[in-house]
Amino acid sequence: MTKPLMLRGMGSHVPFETDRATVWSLRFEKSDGAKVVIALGEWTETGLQYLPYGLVAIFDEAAARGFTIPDNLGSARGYDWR
Amino acid sequence: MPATTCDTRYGRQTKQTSSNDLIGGTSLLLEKARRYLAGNAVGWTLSNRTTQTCGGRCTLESWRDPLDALPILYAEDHGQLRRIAGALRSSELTHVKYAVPREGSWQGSRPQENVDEIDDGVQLLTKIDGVVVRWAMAGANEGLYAGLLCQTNVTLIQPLSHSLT
Repeated sequence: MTKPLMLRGMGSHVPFETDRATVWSLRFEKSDGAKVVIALGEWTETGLQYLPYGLVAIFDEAAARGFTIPDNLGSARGYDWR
Repeated sequence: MPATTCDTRYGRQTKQTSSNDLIGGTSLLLEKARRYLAGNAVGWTLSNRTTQTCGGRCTLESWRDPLDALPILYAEDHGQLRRIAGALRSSELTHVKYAVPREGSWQGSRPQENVDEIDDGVQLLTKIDGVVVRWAMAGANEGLYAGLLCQTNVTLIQPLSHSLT
């Protein structure tokens, strides 16, 4: 039985320099519930922080939900996309 | 049926800048400005341009261009999002690979077990093809780039795989 990966959600924000919402995180899920969130960021001594020049792959739901950036209302887990 | 363009910009690349020496927002803005002004001189050194087909499914291209040339993903870009979603839906995921894993962590900190840091290039590979996610810039704007990826012409630098079970 195959378990395809689905693009399930994204996090977006409107950077200071533009009025268009850019995507800063993408959430992929398998049908069995396994998921990975890929986001702009890095790991610092205080935890995950936004960094435009690096990526983080988050395999933990709680960590994805807890990773936010100041001008984004949501988290790296993002909102659902279909 | 038109060919799908795949991202193969991992063939022979060397990173010329590092984000590890960036400290604080001021340096970040300076770095962004430097990248913007430097154009082709900053970013990635890539292999010479080649084009070939990939099993009739897509066209492989590699070329020399700066990171600024990568189109960033906008929230309303549903066409590209559908292409990404479609590529992954067609086959079972086999690996999550990192083209350029993190070389060092900030002040010696270590990510938690279920979080990986990557300098660039997260590849979601299926049995057929896959998707690559990179960080990118469009002028002074930053965001994610997501493109289709054909595995047959990909050479990973320091490949690292993470099982998604």
